[in-house]
Amino acid sequence: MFDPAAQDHHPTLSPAFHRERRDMRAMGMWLFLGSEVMFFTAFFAAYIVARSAAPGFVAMPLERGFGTLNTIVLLTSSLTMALAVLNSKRGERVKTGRYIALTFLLACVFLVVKGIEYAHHFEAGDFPSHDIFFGFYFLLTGFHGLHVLGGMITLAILWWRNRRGDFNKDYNDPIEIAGLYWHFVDLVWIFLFPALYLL
Amino acid sequence: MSSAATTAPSGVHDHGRSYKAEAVFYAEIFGLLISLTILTVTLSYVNVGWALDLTGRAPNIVAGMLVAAVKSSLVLWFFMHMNHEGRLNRFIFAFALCLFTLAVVAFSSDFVWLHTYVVEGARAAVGGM
Amino acid sequence: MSAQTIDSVADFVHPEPTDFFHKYVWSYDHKTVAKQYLWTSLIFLVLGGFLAMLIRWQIAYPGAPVPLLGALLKGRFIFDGNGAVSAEGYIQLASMHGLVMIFFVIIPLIVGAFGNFLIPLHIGSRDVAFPLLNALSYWLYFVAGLLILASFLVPLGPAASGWTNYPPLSDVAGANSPDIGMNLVMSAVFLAGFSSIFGGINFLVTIVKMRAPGMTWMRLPMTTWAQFVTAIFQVLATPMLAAAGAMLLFDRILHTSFFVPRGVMIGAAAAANTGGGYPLLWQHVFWFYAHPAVYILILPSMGFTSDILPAFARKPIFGQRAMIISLVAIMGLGFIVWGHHMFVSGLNPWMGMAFMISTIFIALPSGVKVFNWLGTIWGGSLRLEPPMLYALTFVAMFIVGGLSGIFMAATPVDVYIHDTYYVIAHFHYVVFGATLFSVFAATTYWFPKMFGREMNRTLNYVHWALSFIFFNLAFFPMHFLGEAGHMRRLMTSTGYEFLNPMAPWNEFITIAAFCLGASQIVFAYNFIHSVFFGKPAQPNPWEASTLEWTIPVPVPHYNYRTIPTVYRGPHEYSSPEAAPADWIAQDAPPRGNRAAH
Repeated sequence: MFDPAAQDHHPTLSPAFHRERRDMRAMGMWLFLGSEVMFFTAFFAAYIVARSAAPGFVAMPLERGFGTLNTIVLLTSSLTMALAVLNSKRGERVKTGRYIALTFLLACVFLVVKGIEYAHHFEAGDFPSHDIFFGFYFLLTGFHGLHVLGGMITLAILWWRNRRGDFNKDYNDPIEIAGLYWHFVDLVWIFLFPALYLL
Repeated sequence: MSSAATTAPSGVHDHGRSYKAEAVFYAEIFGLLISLTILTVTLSYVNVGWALDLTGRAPNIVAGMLVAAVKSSLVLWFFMHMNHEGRLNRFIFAFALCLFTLAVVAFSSDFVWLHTYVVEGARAAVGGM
Repeated sequence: MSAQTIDSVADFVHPEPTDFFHKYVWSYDHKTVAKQYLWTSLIFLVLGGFLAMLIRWQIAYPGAPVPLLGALLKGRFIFDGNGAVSAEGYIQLASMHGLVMIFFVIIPLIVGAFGNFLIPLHIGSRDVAFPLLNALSYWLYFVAGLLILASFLVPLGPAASGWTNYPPLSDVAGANSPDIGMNLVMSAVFLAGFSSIFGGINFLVTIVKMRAPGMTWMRLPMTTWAQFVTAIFQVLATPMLAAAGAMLLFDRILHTSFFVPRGVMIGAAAAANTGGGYPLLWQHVFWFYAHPAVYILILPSMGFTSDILPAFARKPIFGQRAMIISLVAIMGLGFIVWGHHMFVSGLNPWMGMAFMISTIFIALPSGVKVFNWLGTIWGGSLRLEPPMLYALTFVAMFIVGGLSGIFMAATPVDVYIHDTYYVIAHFHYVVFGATLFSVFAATTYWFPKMFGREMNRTLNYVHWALSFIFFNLAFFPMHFLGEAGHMRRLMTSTGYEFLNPMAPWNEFITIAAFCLGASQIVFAYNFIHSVFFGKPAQPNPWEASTLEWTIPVPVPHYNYRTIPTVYRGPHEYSSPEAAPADWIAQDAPPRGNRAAH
């Protein structure tokens, strides 16, 4: 039995420890994603209420090209993230780093496209206060964008830690857990895209 | 935090397939997702309810949301490895989705009622403004 | 020293900090984080109580200058030129009293402080699952607290639309309505919400994954069970509040119209928002969170009581399985009763009926709990120590508050008493009478473990008697006011003919409330004095059987030198197994084994 009173400051953490902690972190992340679902629930439910009941609601068609492009960008980033996780579990440090970097770049592309789109709206005078549709549009895409930004910060830190050599075959759960989050960001967009651009 | 330099096999997360098989599988899912994206964009240009003689956007909305549900299930199931996750983690997410449904159904049914009976009723009472 | 290998998360603990910063400020130790929560929320308790005193002064003596403070702060904060509470000031007092008490006192106190301190001790673990996240939760709460305090200092003061912040009042800024203050308050609530979500995630993972060997779900102390159910509410309901707050801030700052209907006028000018939204939507989203939040306020207290009553009745809890099932039932039902706050808001009457039925149903598990508490003390050899008195008061006050809740659940009755003092009486019986008394119970019960010192018993008895008497004198008459039609948040009861006969009651309540406030000084003095100068405590002064009483005081940094093995349930009192003693610790090996060794 490990004696905490005699603990030195750099104990060795065994693979069994990492497996156990991976399960704890995964559960924590799933709980967080559950709470994220509830966070977006409020927005979606409000949007559906506005769509189904508000008399003056006008769904203004946005430019579908931007939306479709961003959907493809995010789906691709999901693929690269999944491949990064796959590689990290096999201890492929260099390939893991490459895929994380690729995911990061795709996230950048997403935000740049979103920025161009926002710029178009602002030029046309479509500010959030313009009408209730643009209110929801900026609310939903804005908070989704913040999640993308948060994911990018996480990815940058992971890339750096991976480069430093923190991860190996036994210890790589931060990449996997960040992957869960990144896929969730994709998941939200999968619903936002038809709800805002197509329907 | 240092980690062990042991050579113990990391069996738990390895689903027993080769790297190549796994990567090809991801690519297949990705292909499916892209095809579904193309499908949903195409659907938005046509009147989905045409065959059933339905007008309005309701059939399109249902179709679009169904495709989105299929896409998100693919991501959830295969990219997020829900298929290998424990019962508890599945339950957490499923519970959140139930609450999502509850909120959406309860909120919108209240407002549809409000719109149908109160707002329209008031309009009829003042002579169809 | 050769490097040690750690094979299990349960074994791991961050090294004990030696410098001041890591020991008291940015600490990973759940016990320190718990104490940080405790002290901060007690400071906010003083602030919230003080706001309540000002409210009572104004309603009893309308327009009279507030003694001392009014003269000092004439024309500032919430005071008018005469030093009396101004009209805007009054609604600000009412709003901030509610917001501070709910988000910055009760939730951090019962979940943040006691949950943090007790969960790892109860399950036999060395810390929570994510110590870093735990520290982050506290500091998020701290920053939110600073924002709340800052909102008092900005021009036009803090939020002024009730703690529920119903739009359009909360939504559309008029020339004289607080603008920056309102934004600060909403941001504070947003941050406090995230602190609560992270805390909930931490507790859930801790309870599920870090229980000591043998600590099955049925052997878990009721406090930890209650914290578990509360954490589910925190994780899945609180995000709705954060989202609602975000939408409100969008409406206020970016002039979107999620909650703003068409044609809102401020004085003669049209609002900046284009309109087209629904104020009712806010109520749905807000109460989808805030009704579960009501259970966040009461469930942990039910847990404390369910552990304290057995310890002082020297009997196991009556119907442990029923207690656990009723907790889970309250959680399930708690998510589908939010509409009972909206019976008079224009809710679809058919949905109103559904909400009425589900609300009355939730009285069933609550009733099960009350009867089981009574069953627990029935025939027990009661030890009327201070924690026991407080816990018994919890049960009694919860019955009063619970019964008045059932009246209000019935739509026809609610239409009459909605937004009257009856409601105020109801939720103060629950939140003060039940929750705060259980906090006193928990504080006096776990104080020896928390601070390693004893509280003064005599002062605790004095505080209990004074609080119990003045609490009932202050809040019971509010039922009469409510039935007479006295609206809540009404600045003055003079000037309404039908309320004039109520003026003596208002004065009576105010005097009782001041006495209630003053009697808390006894507790504050006792608490602070005992923390620093109390008699050193025994490790197990109450002869209780749960795990936390098996470790020495003050509790070592790592809690358990060896992770204990659990052999039996949490309340092994008067068990034949324990003879000749009347209790046996959860981790004492069974007799057969002991004989063998």
